[in-house]
Amino acid sequence: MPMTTATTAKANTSAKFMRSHPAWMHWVRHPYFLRGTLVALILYALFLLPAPGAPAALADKLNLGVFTVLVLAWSALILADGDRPDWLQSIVAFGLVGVMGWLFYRYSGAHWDKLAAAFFDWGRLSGSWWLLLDGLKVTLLIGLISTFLSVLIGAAVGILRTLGSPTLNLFLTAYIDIFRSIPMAVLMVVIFFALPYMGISFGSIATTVVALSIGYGAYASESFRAGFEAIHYGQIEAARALGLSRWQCMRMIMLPQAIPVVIPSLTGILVSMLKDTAVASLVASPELLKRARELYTSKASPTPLVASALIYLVVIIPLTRLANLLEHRMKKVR
Amino acid sequence: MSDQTSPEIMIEVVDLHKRFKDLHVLKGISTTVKRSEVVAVMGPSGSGKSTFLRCLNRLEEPNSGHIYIEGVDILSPYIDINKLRTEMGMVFQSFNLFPHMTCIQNVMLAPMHVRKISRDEAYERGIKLLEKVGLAHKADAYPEQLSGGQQQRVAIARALAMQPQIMFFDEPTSALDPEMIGEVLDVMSTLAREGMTMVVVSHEMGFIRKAADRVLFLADGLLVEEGSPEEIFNNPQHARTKDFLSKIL
Amino acid sequence: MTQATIPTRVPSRLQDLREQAGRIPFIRRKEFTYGSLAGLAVFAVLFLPRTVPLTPAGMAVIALLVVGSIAWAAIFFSDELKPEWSKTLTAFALLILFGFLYYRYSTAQWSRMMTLFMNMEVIKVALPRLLEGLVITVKIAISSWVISTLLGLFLAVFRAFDNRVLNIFIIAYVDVFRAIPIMVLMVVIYFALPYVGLTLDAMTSAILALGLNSAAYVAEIFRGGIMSVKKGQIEAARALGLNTWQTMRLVLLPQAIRVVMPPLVGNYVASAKDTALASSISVIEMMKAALVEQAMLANPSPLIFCFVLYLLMFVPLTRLSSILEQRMKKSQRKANV
Repeated sequence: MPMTTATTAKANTSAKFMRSHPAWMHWVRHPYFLRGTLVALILYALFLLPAPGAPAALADKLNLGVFTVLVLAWSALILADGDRPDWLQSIVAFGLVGVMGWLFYRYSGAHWDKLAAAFFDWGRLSGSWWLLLDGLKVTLLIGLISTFLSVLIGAAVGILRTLGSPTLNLFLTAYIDIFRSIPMAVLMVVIFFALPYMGISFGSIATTVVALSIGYGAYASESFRAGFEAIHYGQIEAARALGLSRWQCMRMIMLPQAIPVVIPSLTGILVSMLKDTAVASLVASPELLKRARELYTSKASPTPLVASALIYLVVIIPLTRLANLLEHRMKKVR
Repeated sequence: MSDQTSPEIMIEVVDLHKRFKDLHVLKGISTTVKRSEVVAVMGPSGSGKSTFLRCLNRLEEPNSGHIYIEGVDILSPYIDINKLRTEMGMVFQSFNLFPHMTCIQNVMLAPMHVRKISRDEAYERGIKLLEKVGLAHKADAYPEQLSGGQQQRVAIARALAMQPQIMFFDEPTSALDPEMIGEVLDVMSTLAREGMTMVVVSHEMGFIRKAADRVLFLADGLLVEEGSPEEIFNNPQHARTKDFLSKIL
Repeated sequence: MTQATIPTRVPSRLQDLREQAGRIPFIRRKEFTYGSLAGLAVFAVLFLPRTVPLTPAGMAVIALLVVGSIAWAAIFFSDELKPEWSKTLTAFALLILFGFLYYRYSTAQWSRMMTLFMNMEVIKVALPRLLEGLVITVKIAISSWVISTLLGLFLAVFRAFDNRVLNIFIIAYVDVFRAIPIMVLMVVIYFALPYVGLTLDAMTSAILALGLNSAAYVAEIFRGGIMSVKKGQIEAARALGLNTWQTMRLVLLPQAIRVVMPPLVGNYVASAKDTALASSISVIEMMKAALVEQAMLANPSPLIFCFVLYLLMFVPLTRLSSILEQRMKKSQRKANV
């Protein structure tokens, strides 16, 4: 058959080729190439880069861009190569981060000498810390209350959805879709500025709590739905076949199986909730960001803003870690 | 017919129809099951045998027809479906043990919460039932720690804990590895000997021959043939039955 | 098999059931359903207050009526044997009842409702500004998508090299920018950075804040996609003689993209929604425009209109992302079985 001969012939040539050309490593992985390009990069950095300061001319910008891309590509060649020893890769990684930092330091145009005085001027904050802490208290309070309420709403909506009534689901889906679609800021602003015309008015903190609870209630209900969907249908049938009523089945069979699935995503909701409390500054809730901005104005210093950012980090990073941990554990259990 | 109260007749099904949207699954099935009778339901896949079984305890709501259990019309809107189901045990193909409870908790759940008997009594009854299926030593194990055969035996014990009048088995051995089928069938045979009324969807020929009093053969939603296992296996009348038996034998 | 020590056969209780026919739980019986409905109706007719400024007693009556009708509907809805159309009817009846109660007894100025909330003239005046705002919203959204995709991809790829030193920096970036609220980031970039000589205009600050924040999420999403490809797949590709780049292009990416798409779309929707936060640093995007117009025209119609516009924009996107998510879940379930 012509087909077979063709393949054999090709295979033969290829074998012949292999014999006459030993399997060289790809040239980009060759030590000579890598060493040569490293030297070239160093020379580039020493002689071709523009003068320090924010680059104004287009040529300078391009110059910096090309250099950055070359550095990234060169280090990627080393880092992506599984045959390189760990220590070498680590050195290259340090080098990469160092070069990037150096580039930012040199070409961002920032006045680094003013950094400490502007951002970490703690002396100016003395006596005003309590204002920030007060703000933190309000933030946490809003976050916890809204989390509690939104979990209640989410559980109720999730349970109602298991009833499987198309009419009810229509309303519930509408609720979920609307509040998952509307930006939290818009929701708060509408509640705060438009609803009073309808004879419904809330204070600023109440507005925040209502908006966050309703909005995140929609997200929480989705988590609950996912939790209930993870339950095998046979479980419910078995429970009903034993004579358990719908509510007993929900309480004893479905909820205990859904809750471990739901908890990690509820932790995630708590985290997003705490972050979204910052939005409340739009409706003048006296929470952390609002307080920081007030202090920024009154002290004419950005330190309070930086301080508030740090406080958020301290509060939220552990929670994010916890959420990740729970999620991993969930995946392992399954 | 409908208000027949003879204790001899346990289940009476009259012209049962079930549709899923435009799919007509049961096209009018009528049969009776006597007390202490063991009835095997066979048929090719898609013949409606599982649906038929699930209609009997209203896990599926039939579209029309009547089901009388000891003369009680169970499709009547005045029947409390949960009380009704306590009289009928059901064993599923995929066991459906509750994974968040130990075996004994699985067995105790319904007696405690539906029958409202005390925890101690439920425990005592549960342990005895686990003994009966040979798994008393696994009482505190979780379902995931058991083999398939053991899980299915616990599922049988769980159904028996309600002291049902009838037991339904929906392909109880088809999700099991071959070496575990025997232990489950043994338990079922014991039950049959003790005089439990049973409706079993199964293709285990050995078990059916030994334990069943009667075989119903379903195809395309119709009851095409019924008779004793010998009659059906040795001398099938209907072409569908012959065809099916030739394939599984 | 040990012989049973307890009787499996107990006297039949089915006949008791027969005696009790009609003894389904009280609240499920027709007598109760219709009786209580009539009771509620009579209660409403007799006791609902006639005058509008509500007395405490009137409020109590309304509260009772609301609670009663919700309870009645809940009982009705939880009955799986009631036909669906009757439940539909109940749901709408309940809506109408609440609507009526609100209409009748809230102190809102109903005669002015239309002029207040859907005042076409006001909207007509405000429309040009709102549309300008919309354009800015879209610009911010798209620019931040580009930034976050590029930066996120870069972070994910370098994370995939799995070098300990690099990981520390990348994880730090991801953790910090996922933890810091976007609004705080915006405010810091816009108000604080000028103090060290980095002055960015409001719009750039907003884009940068959104992009930096969402890049952290995008990096995690891409990483999840890369990790979701099973090791066996890569080994199989290498065993076939594909090189690293071919493995990446022909095996890894096509599989990873399917995993990545749903959360990525979700993330894009989220950061598009967050453009509204730019109003806090005086970017006149759509929400800010609506707020300004509402203040100038002393009428909330622009705000309501902006609310509706946001819904029109984002409901389809949210739907899309949840459809993608559902589809992925389904295919994963299939793969697991």
